[in-house]
Amino acid sequence: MREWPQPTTVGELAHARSGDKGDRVNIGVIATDEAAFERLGEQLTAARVAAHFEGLIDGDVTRYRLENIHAFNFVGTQALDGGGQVSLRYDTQGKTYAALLLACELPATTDH
Amino acid sequence: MSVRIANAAGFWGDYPDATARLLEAGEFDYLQLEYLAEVTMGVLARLQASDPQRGYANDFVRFVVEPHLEELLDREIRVVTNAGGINPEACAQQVRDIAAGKDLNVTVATVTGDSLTDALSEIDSTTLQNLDTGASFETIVDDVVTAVAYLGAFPVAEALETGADIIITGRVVDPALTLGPLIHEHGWTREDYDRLASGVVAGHLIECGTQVTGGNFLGDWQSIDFENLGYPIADVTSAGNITVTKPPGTGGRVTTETVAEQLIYEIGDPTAYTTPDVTADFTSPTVSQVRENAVRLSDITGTERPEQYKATIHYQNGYKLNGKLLYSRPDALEKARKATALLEQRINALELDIEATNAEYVGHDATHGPAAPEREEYNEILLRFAARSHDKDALRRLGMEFAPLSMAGPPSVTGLTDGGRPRPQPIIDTWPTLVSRKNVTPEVTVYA
Repeated sequence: MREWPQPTTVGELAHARSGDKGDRVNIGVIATDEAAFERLGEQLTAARVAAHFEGLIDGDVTRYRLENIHAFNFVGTQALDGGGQVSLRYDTQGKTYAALLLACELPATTDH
Repeated sequence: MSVRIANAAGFWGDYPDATARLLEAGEFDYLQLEYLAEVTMGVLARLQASDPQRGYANDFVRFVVEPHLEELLDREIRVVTNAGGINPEACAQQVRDIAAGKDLNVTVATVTGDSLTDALSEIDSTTLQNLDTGASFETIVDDVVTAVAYLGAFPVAEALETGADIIITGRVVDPALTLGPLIHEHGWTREDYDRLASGVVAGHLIECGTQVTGGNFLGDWQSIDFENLGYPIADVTSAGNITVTKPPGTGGRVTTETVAEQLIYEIGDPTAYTTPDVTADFTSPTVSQVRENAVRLSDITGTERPEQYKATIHYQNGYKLNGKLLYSRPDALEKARKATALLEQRINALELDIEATNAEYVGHDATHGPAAPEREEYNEILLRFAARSHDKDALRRLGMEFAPLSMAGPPSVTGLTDGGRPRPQPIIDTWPTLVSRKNVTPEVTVYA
């Protein structure tokens, strides 16, 4: 496994966009280069994303990989307080979730 | 040979002058306009209930047909749109009336057969369970507002075969507005999976309008020129190679980054983007910048279509409302939180049958919830307090609890003249399900 001696944020490594389908949210995260893609692949796991969105995404988070555009697609279920029509939130469609994911911190790692 | 398809509406509410922007500087063969979000179908159903002549996206008639019909016909640009909503016939009639008034000769075709509202009672209800929750259709059978199957692109191509100038559809999958013209022009067959998948990718990229040309870009957004943002054009060859561009001289940009953000927008498993025509693999395209503001996608692959049609049943599921109060510093957040506590106490004291509430503090946590870091001091906080119930009267009563807080609650609050008492709005919820192909018969009608 590679070492990353400095902590960072997803926003330093990627840009992103999010949207809705019913009560699901999807957050596409596109790495800026291959090294960033590798680090995201190691550290931005579905479990880390689920923890970062605690209180917003109540269901599961699944991660899909798009090698062709150096991206990951995260799909969260029970993510929008019932979905666009039912939701009592201001952001009924999860449009700002992508920005929240960019704030997610990734720790430094050392290979001990 | 290639076909150029432009998009001039990414949703109902997009810029009214989008078509004008494209016609001014763009060169293209087809103009497509996408109006139907999930929430829009419920709105259309309510409009049609109040007036049988409504139920379609009249932005199309007002901002595309009325001002531009003559130029579109002169330049032989054919138009494909899902503006028909739940009443394509009425939309087609409106277009023909406008043409008659201008002494223009236009042929309109509709694509229908998507409506399942009348057919629902004939479908075995045990097959209509909610795809997400598994719940039984019986639980909502009395609350149905409208129901639609998502049609594919072959009926759109069939409508184009008739020679019609304008194709107005009901509910079709969004990429069908792009794939339909490509099937028609390139003669693609139902087994041309890779090419059909290319058409789906092209449609997916342009169907949200300016979201692929720099709009909403979350990379280096400060460097984007949002003024007069260009609407997208997809140039698609018979082999299925796509080039995404925008008209010269318009704002925004088309780069591999803006295209990547849109490619991944509102999808699930990227290896299986399903439509009634083909299952497209969004991990297959090779994406490259060929020149400034031109991105090419090639090597796209697809596989067989799914057996069943996707359908959505729109049904009434109670009501909701929200009220807002603006608090200034000092202690803006603390004041707003106190107001929330008072509202909750009043709901209890009045024994209002409220099923759920949500308090958001705009300026602090409305977009990022519990993940938002708390600050020492805020200049101001907008309390947005929302509630949901099947008891409309309970919500109406709750709507009367906001204004009194201006004189009976925490200080330095304002904004009460902004819109009056909040009122309950009906929730038209969506119920995703699948229906058998035998329950759906796409139909093309020509109005010459």
